[in-house]
Amino acid sequence: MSGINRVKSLVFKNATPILIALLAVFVLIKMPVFFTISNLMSLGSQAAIWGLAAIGMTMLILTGVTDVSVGAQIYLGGVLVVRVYQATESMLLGLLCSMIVCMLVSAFNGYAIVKLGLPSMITTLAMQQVCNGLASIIIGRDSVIKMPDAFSKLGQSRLFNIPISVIIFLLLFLISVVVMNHTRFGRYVYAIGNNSDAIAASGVNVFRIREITFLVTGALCGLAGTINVSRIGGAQFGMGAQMEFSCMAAVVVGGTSMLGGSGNIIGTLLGVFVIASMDQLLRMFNVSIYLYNVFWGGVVLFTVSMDLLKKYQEKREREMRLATDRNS
Amino acid sequence: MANMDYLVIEDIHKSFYGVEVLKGVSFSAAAGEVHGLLGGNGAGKSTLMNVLGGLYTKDSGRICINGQEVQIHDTKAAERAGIAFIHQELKLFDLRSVAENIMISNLPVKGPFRLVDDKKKNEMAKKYLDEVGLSVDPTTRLGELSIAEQQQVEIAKALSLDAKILIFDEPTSSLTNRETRILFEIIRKLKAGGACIIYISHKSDEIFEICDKVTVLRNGENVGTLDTKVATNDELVSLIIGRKLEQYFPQLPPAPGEDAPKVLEVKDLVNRKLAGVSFSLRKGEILGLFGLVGAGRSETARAIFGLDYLASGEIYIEGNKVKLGSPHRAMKNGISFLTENRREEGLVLKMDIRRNLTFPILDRISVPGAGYVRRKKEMGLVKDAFSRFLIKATGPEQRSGTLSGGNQQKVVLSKWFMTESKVLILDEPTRGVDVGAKAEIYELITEMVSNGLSVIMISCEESEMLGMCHRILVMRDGEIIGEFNREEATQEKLVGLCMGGKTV
Repeated sequence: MSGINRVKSLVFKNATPILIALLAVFVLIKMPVFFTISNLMSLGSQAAIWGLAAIGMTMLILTGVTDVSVGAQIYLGGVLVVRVYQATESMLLGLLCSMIVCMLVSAFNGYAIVKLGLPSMITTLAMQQVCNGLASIIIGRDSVIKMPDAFSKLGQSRLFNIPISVIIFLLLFLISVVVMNHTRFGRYVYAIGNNSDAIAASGVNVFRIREITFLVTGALCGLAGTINVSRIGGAQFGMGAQMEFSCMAAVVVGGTSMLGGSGNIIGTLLGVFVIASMDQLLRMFNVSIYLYNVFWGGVVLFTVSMDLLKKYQEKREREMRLATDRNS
Repeated sequence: MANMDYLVIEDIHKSFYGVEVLKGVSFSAAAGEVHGLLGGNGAGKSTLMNVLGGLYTKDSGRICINGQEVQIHDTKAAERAGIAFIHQELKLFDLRSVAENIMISNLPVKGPFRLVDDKKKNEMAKKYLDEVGLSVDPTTRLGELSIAEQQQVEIAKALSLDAKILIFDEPTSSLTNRETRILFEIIRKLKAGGACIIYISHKSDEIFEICDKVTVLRNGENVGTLDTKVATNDELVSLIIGRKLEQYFPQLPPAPGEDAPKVLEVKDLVNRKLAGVSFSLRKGEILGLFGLVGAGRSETARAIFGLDYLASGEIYIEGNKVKLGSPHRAMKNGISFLTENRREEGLVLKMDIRRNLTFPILDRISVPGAGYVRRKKEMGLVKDAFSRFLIKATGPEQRSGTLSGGNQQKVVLSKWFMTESKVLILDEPTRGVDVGAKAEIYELITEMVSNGLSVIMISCEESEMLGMCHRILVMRDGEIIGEFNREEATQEKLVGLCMGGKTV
């Protein structure tokens, strides 16, 4: 391999770490305040919300589908929590209600995509509309609902000075790492993205496994919705918008292939951190909202393209190796 | 060059995944000749024709047309060389008109904007339709025609491309007798017009009727060309099967007697490929299912295991009627199935050997309820499988996609042996495997059967059937048409029966 090719190959294979390193150096010079504890904590408590959904999203993308309805599910779940709390003063009841509704929504997504074979992008896009609409109806004309202080206990309290939302996120993340790397379920999820036929022929109920990945995503969205409304102390029109995009970005930046099969859950933690940091930085640099959208779209396009370029590069290297083997 | 035939193929080699499928095939055909191409399953007919049609690239060798060497890298190049392929499954556009289907590669255009000249298109199509004697309006939608008519459209399309070499791949497989007559008329007309026609078929009576010469391939080699005017069916059959038995088969345990319990019994299995299949399998028996590709062997296995839809039929396991319908249920009832396509349904190629081996048995080695996989227990089983089933790899963590064909097959086989099922169905257990690994696989199967496993074995190699089965069922068109005991079975009987030609 020539020098230039070797550099190219190294860049393709390590795109994410290189990106992070460049970003870190840039920030350290331009905006040292970013690295203060209080800033990191505030960043973390926001990221923990959609980070929860990103755990489920990783499982889905590993099996080769995507879900753009998670942001809307977080919105719907959160609105339900607020209304249930207003009626019963019970946070727990609100949480249960939110989780059950989101799981139903995801169960339907799963059934339509896995059993009926609808394209996941279209199905979940439609579901996003349904959930957004329902949530807005439930909010009604108020568009902002302020809740009493007691409501914010879950979202704003801290343990050892760490926001409780971050702790919940990290805890569930830890559990998901064990599940994905050490259980039957996790192993099947990785395998299904690679070769679903072989797994079905091994006597595994593939529909069941895939439906579970959807249910997990739904449950996590329900929980995220609850923490979200508690953290901001109420509900507001259109909250949760674009969270699905942050999720997707975190998963692909974390090295999981949109084509399914390859990647890992630990990468997603890294991805969540990178995306949350960039998000915070854009705000700190006061970037206009329009440029902000352009930036995020660009990041996802870039990462997904890198993933495919990496695949082509690997294929080319393999072909070249085979050709050398043959002719030597 | 001495050979003045129109099409000359010399010393073609082609390998897939390190397995040589064509081992230096040569053959030639003259203009104005119908040349039959025959051979058992996997003999290399289709591969050779796909090389000629530009679907595969040859590894080495020469193709000469009309004395000129040609390079055929893709289908477009084949088209330019005047080669047309009439596929077994037609490749046409159902929703477009007949004329459009015929002229698709060179639609006539007119005017500054190069719009399609519909009038000219239909006129030209009509001319080619007349040549094949099909009287339909060129503007008819293709989907409204019968299969036979669609085939004629495909031939007309070949003529429109000025094809001089026409390859027919089992053209009569979905035609009625009358339609076959019409097709043969067209072929004779093309021949009289100087075309060079290659006719692939399994049916010996057709070969004798329509072909001038017939070439037989076996194991990727040309084993002989016969003149159909003087050759007999017996000569043809013996060429197809060959005389030498190369493999070494282990000593089988004795066949179970009449009193041995029936492990599996199926009655009247029916689906779109099966027309009422019934048989039973005794404990410790190896039962062979023999037939040509598409005769219903694999289809029977897939239906039992629940990979294919089963319209009706009954399945009994150890005398109890069961309802299967999915691989999950089949495995719960003690049936395992090694599919014929290990790269598609056998292995997750990107994952390591350890994970591939334990997919079906994870529930046995994980904590009940939580599903936490006990790594130590798994490693123990995997190490055990490595030594017992002779898997050669750098270790359990080697990616299964990087193994040789023989070792991949041993991994899939071990995976199923480890399930400790009552019945194991093996579909082409030694396909694409070298001779050494083959012998080892036979050895392993025999050992498992001595331990009480019952096996249904599917293969298109007659020698494998004869060497490894206690009993052989012959299938054709989704039905069982014959049964042989180990003692009475011979290659001639098997091949003769499934080809359905004149008596052997």
